[in-house]
Amino acid sequence: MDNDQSSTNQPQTQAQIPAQVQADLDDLTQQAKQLEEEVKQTGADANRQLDEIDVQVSQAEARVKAATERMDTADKAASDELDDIILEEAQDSTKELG
Amino acid sequence: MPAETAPNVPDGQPESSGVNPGDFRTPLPYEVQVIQDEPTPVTPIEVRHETSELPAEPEPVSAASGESPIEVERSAEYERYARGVRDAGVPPPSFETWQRVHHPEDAVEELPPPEPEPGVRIEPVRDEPESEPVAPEPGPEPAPEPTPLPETIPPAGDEESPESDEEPPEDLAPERRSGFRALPEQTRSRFGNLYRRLQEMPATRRIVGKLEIAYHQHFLDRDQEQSVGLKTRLDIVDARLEGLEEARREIEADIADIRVNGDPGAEALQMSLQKLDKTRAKIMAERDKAQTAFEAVDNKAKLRATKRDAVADRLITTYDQELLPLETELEALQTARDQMELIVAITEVKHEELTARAERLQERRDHIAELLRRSGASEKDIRQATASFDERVLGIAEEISRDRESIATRKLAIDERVARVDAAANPYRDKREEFVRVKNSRPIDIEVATRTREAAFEGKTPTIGHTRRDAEGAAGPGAETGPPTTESDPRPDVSAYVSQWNEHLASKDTDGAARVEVADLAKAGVREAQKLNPAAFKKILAAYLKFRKVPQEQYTEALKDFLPAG
Repeated sequence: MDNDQSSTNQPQTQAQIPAQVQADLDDLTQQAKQLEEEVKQTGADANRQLDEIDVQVSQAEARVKAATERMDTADKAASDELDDIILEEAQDSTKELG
Repeated sequence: MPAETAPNVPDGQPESSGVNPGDFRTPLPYEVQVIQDEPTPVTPIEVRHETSELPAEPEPVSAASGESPIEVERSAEYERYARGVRDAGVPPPSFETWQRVHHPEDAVEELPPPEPEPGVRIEPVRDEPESEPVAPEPGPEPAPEPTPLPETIPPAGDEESPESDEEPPEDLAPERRSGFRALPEQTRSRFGNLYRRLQEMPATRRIVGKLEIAYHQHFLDRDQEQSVGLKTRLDIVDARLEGLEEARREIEADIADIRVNGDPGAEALQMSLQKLDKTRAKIMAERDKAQTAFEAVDNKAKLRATKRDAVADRLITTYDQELLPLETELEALQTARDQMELIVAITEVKHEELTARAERLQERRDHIAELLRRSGASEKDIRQATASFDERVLGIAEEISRDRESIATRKLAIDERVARVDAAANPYRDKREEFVRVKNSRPIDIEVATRTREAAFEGKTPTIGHTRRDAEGAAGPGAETGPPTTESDPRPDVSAYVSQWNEHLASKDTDGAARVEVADLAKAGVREAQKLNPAAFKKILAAYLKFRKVPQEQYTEALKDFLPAG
């Protein structure tokens, strides 16, 4: 919107601006435009690369989660067996005490 | 020698009376040499071919000591036994206990087990199977057991639970709860306490706690106490057998001497031998019984340990299988994090570069405005003439600021996720080591060195804040007076920096892993022709080498004096 305003205003001053200065101004504006594009590109590149990292991290997270779940399952099975051993010990203690 | 083999004649008795030929209970000659200093003449005895039991006669009593010869014999035998036991490092039992154990014929009461060593509790050996189920107790609880459970739970927090109606632990599977309820009240209370303590642990630690309980010192101590008690009994019996063997050898030697010398009394000694053999047979039977009991306890303990080992080994194996890929994943995550830092570093340098360019354009804009001012243009006219440019430059600054903020936020989020995954994996890495430690901490003699797995990601350099102060300043005011057709940047480009870096490394003889190729940096997003100031290149270079996992010691020193400021 501001862009539009400035372009509207420009013709009013154009007559008062020397040609060389106007050429400088045009070049300056062109370079600013180019810089703007580069800034956008830089941001886009960084975000795209970070997106890739995000995906890598997500995949690693999922694999780590699966591994911990498998270890939890092993824990559960072992836990039940250990309960049996502990109860057996408790019963033994009781028997030995008569 | 013949004098030494003379039968004992009590002091104060007439020498002519000699020894009663029918007295087969006369103390053995080998004992005499210990007790008596004066040899006594041997009186011939009547040889009998039958060895039937003779009526027992009162033991002659030593006038000096007031002890009967059998008592003297026992004392000497006890002394020998005690010496042997002491030599074996075991404190000997009292004489009374020893006598009850070794000479039950002297005592009326039944043979009790020998006195245990201090601190050793000898458990009665039971024949019933160890895992015999205990019948559920109907109705009210029976009276508390008379003997408290010794060291059933760890000393720390060994307090009794005041409640009498112990509920099964929450994490006990329903099918096991009836087994818990079937336990007597006191046992239930103690084991309930153990499980309550488990509940206080973090969930991921509970399995370790349970393993610790299953491997608990009490169970092992109990097994060990039983084994030690029975082993002591075996040692005592062995010492006694040894004493008998020694006595036997001496009697046999004495018999041989008597026969060689043609002295009487050989048959009496043979009778003694016979009696000694009977005693030996009795002791051997006792030994067999103790041995059987020892083996039963030992096997039981080994079976229990084997069961626990199987559980622990299975856990360790599972963890080993899972932790290896887990470590790989964590390393990959760390690589992703390093890569992210490289991206962030490159982007920051680019942003600095873009900002510097924007500032240079701004200077040109100010210069043009000044020219316009000199040519008589009003401030309003100047603002109007540069409005489009101003707006773009402002947009650029905002865009860079937004990108910086967004990248910093994303970097933080990724950092947090990596840290979260690492933290989630940590207990499992620790647990594996704990399983091994619990298993190895048994008092059973197993020597396994504790492996310490290096924790991943330790010693990594934390993310550093990237300063912007080193950015090369914009061109000075009025640097560009005319319309710049092509901007000439005096700064070296990336390829020049790369060459300098590699030469710098070579001059220090540290090139190798730290060498960098332009193409590698290009893959990371840094153009070969990109102009950079030295600080920016060093920042990218450091992040890139870290991402490449080049050991820091290979480049830190070189990086320090590379492209010195000023």
